[in-house]
Amino acid sequence: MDVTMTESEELLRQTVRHLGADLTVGSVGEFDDYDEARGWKSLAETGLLGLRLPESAGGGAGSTFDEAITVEALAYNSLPVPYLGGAAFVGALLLAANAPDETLARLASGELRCSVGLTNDLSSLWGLSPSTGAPIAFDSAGSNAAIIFDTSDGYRLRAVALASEVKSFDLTRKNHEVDPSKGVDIGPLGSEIAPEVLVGVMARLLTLVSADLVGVMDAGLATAVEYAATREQFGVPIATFQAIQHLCAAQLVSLEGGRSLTEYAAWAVDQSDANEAILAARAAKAYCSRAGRVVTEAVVQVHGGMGFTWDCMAHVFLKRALTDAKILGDAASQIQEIAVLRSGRI
Amino acid sequence: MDFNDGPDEARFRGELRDWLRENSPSHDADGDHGEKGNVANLEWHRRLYAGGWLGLSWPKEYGGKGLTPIYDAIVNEEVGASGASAPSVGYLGRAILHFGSDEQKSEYLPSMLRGDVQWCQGFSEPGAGSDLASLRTRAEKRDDIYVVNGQKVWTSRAQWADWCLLLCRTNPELPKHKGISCLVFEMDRPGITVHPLKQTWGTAEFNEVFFDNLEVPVSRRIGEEGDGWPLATTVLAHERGPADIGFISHFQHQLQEFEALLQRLPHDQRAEFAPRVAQAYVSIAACRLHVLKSLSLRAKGVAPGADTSIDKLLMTRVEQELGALSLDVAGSAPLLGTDPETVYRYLRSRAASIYGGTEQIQHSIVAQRILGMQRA
Repeated sequence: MDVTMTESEELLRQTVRHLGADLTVGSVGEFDDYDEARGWKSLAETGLLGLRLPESAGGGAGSTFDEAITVEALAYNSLPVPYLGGAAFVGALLLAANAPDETLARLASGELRCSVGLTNDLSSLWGLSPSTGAPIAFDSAGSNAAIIFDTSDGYRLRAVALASEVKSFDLTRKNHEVDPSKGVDIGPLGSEIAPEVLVGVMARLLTLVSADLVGVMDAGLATAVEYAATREQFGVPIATFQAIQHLCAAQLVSLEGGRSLTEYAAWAVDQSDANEAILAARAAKAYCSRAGRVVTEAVVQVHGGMGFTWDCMAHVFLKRALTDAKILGDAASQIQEIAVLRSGRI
Repeated sequence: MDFNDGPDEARFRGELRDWLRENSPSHDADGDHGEKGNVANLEWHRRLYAGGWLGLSWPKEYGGKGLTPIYDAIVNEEVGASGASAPSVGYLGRAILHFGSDEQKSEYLPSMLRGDVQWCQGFSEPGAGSDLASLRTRAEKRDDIYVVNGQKVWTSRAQWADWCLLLCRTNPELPKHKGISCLVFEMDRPGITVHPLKQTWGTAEFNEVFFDNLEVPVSRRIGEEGDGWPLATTVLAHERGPADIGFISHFQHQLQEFEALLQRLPHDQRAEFAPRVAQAYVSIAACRLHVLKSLSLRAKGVAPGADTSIDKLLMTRVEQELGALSLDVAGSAPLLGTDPETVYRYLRSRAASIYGGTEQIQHSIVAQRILGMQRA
């Protein structure tokens, strides 16, 4: 047992953090006009879009742990490029459906631009649970289509057209409504997905959203600590006040708790059975969803009045954390599922 | 990152599971938080040690097994899963291991690990709690002895301890962190008075300890004169750390009890408490996994430092979440005198944010030493 990152994992993390810092916006005002296509191209060129895909499709054959590191490092930079929704989510579904290499290769190269359809309340993949309203293509900047489940004959993937863009609370992402009646051809999407495979897919997606939350919390806390060191009141930096120090310290404790759960879940997706993986993933998602909100609210608090201005990054972190918290089920719904999973074990 | 046991770890875990099936702790003293409970804990400690399951990460020459602290974590997990708690194993001994002479290590450590000699920690004083370095218990050197005068407080298990590890001021002229030294001595020497303090749950675990011209040979000083402060921080880092304390087993054990209790509750109560038990599962997992990371760092030779404060704060959150859950699920019974065990669990959980350095001190450590926020 060695619960520390290997050298190559640490190197990946540093590399993606640097890349994310180079690619991302310089200020809040730049989110609107961000050249998303250029960012997407860079992620393709560095091999990140195919990180988890097989080598036969031009991918990097990386682990879910590597993918979680990547999601976290890009989230740390609030990168407004849909890596989570457009690459990681799509890749997970295509792999589960055994999509042919030709399709996967187009994802790895950056040519395939699509997203995944969620239920209107964002709590589930569309088609897996009853829902009203049109599906929402999550994290769909640059997307030409959304993948949804067709459950008329087992679980199969189907590509459908995007409708109009939905106004996004999260400044770093775009979402679209989806027209499930309008199929589009984005190439072969594989075959029927067995229900037990779906459990593993769910574990993977929940883990990746948790990793996103870890990145957001980490960035938010770093920003708050930096601000506190420069902002002076009563003639001294506010970072010297115990009230500020203790608030920040408590957030680091939550962040590190969430990080530990997420790292284990990311490992378990590849290395444990599906039951353990889904339990670990739901635990990570439950904890990070709650912590993500508390930590980023504290980030706003440390910034005082500044934290309520559009140009301050604090609300960018808060809004991304609140969005992540809802994606694929909030803390309360994860806790309900965990109660069921645990009671089955006694 | 690899959470799997290596082959040796897996074999060890398997053997331990087999042993635990044959050897469970006696439950005769359950619910006794006084002397009987202390004796039962010691007895369990000795059996675990005799079985080869304690002191694993200690050097072989002092009674340990020279293994990585990951093995301590395995013991914590498995003992907890078997429905028992693992005893805390000599975090005080870490001070002797790091600062003592070879002779002192050979003399004190093996019996401490075996559980044959019980130690207490003479740190806090009436005027020196969070500001431990302001302690005033005085040790004056006269030829080859120190004469000790002063008072300690909150000294856990002093009334049952055989030996004491004491922080005292040997040089009042130096700045407060520099003039502190560490002495060890038997608790039955003349000049020591122990006065148990009845705690909020009704029994006494901690004590006031008074020293009135206690004589301690200079050969019983651990480290040099003035080493007391770095020695104290070593002890506290280990006390806050996971492997030496055994709290993970204690959490696993409590979680099992709650999960079993849920099955016996009427439907409406089960619906109320199931999410809280599931939430406790998540909090325990966060703490346990963070602890595994800390232990992995230690296995790689990284000394415990400020990061153990994060373990301590996660541990505090879990302990108090479980304490509150115990109280809430018990309804009115604790308030009507029929459930003293829940009273004990709840009240004792509130001490988690005090002992080993308060939550506030831990927050200051985390802010200043990990987040790099400057001191006032």
